[in-house]
Amino acid sequence: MCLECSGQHRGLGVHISFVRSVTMDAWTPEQLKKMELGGNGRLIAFMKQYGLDKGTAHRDKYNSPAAEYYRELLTSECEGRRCALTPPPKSSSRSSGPSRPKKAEDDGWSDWGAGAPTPQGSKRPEARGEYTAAALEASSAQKEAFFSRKMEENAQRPEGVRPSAGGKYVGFGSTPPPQPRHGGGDEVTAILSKGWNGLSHIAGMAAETAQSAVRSGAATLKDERVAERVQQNARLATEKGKEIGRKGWVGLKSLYATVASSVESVAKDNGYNIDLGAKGVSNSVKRNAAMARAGPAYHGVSSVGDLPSMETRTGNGFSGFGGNEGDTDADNSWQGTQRDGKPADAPGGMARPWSEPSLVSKTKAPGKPATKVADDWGGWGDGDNEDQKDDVDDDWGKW
Amino acid sequence: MGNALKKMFDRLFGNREMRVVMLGLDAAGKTTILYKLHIGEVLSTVPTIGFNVEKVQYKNVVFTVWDVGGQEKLRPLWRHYFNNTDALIFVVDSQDRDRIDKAATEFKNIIDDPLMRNSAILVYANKQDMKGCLTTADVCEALGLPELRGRRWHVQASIAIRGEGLYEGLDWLSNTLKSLKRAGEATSVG
Repeated sequence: MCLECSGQHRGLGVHISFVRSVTMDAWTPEQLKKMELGGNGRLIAFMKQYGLDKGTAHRDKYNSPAAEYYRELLTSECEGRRCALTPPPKSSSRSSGPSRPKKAEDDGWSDWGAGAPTPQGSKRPEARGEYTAAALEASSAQKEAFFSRKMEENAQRPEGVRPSAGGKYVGFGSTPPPQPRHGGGDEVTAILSKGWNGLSHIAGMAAETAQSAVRSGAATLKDERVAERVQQNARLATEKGKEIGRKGWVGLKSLYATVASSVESVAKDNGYNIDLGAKGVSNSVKRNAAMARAGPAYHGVSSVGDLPSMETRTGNGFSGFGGNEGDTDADNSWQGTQRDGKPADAPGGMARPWSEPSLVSKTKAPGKPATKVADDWGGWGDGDNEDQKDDVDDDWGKW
Repeated sequence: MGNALKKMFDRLFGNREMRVVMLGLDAAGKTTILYKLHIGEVLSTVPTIGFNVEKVQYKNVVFTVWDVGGQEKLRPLWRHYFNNTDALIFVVDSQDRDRIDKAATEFKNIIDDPLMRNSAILVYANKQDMKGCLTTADVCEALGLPELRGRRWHVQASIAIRGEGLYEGLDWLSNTLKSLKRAGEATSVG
């Protein structure tokens, strides 16, 4: 049989039609014996008795009770036992067709929401892989909407029920599903605190960062009024940023404090609670300013000295971080649970032993002293900053 | 200097690329999954001789997915795709009870390969619409996932032709790979 047809046969499922390649597959002795006992001639003759001739659509033909009987018959002959099934009643009329009303094309061949299911057996051009370029483009344009609809639908299904019975398409594994995170200001400050020298154009960039933080924050608020005011503030901050940048690191932080506090207050006015950590930053700015008086410009090292206060700040700012554990510990405890109790049928109900480890816990982890952070960040600008990229990348995505 | 920084900020908010290899026994649904993810449509597929490769965008991650033919004689070729791979997607036909052990053997061979020791593992328990198919937990156990130590794995129920469960799997994959890289852990070898 040709490649095209073998594709069609495989689409029926391995319980209906199991396709083997002579050159690409290994054959078991049973399979060889079945080929010997069966074969095309015998099947064609058998199917004819049931009015299923060569012209019958393959879906109908192989899903018929006759085909089911034939499969069982061949298997039993191969194993040298009696066939367990009784032959279905023979009929010569073609109209008897498939007696098992298949769920038509709801197998997904036409599950595109808008399009009504096509009558079964009809040869849709799509089903044979004949797409026009335009149809494919339209399809890929719809893809996002389609999949987000699917995900929404899936989220609403009950767990613990088999998907075929309307249950959820569950997924589980070595890591628990990510906890929804709120805020995000801590990451911004963390980055800012990780030590770079005060340069005016960096300040511009930082302001941009703050601005996009604000923008994504505004997007989640879904309140145009708030968004507008927030953006005004951010614009102001950007302009200020370049000027302030000349003052170096302290200026940078106080800039962030200004932006953050203004965003917070605007949001608060409108009934939203955002914590961008403005208070913490402005406090540390004050302290830095005091320290800076003692010495000249502020360099990377100083920001490291400042880290503990940042940590406390973020730690306090986030109320939901109760049982925070280190990365590896958490991993072990989870896998331990799985070893003891085999995964349940609906593992979504399993206890999740920890919330997602945050940046905070990582900086606190033993073996990674504060000064190490400064070293890591020495490579700025060489494009060698994967860590930091991911921090931001990830968290902005979640806003 | 300014330019370099600009570039860096572009990367911060831009797309991130990941290399993924999709394996599994023949007729598990690998090619169907690939094209469902790529163009959102089910093409009637033919047995893959060789491989298909497409880019699949999910949120801000671009997965380069290599879908390699799963027939017996093609399986020894799988290891040539292991180099520099961030994640493995292993597709199981949940209906195919007879060959689940074979699938488990092949799965073990893959993940025991030194080149795959850091990769995240996503298993699609596919064809969940079929009557009498293995449940997700059955598949998980048959593949011996609970016994895996120090690996990131996730098993996801799916129906490739209807698109069920596919994005849920990608969601896990992108989050995991991001958090691994953030933690400074290598996800690929070679």
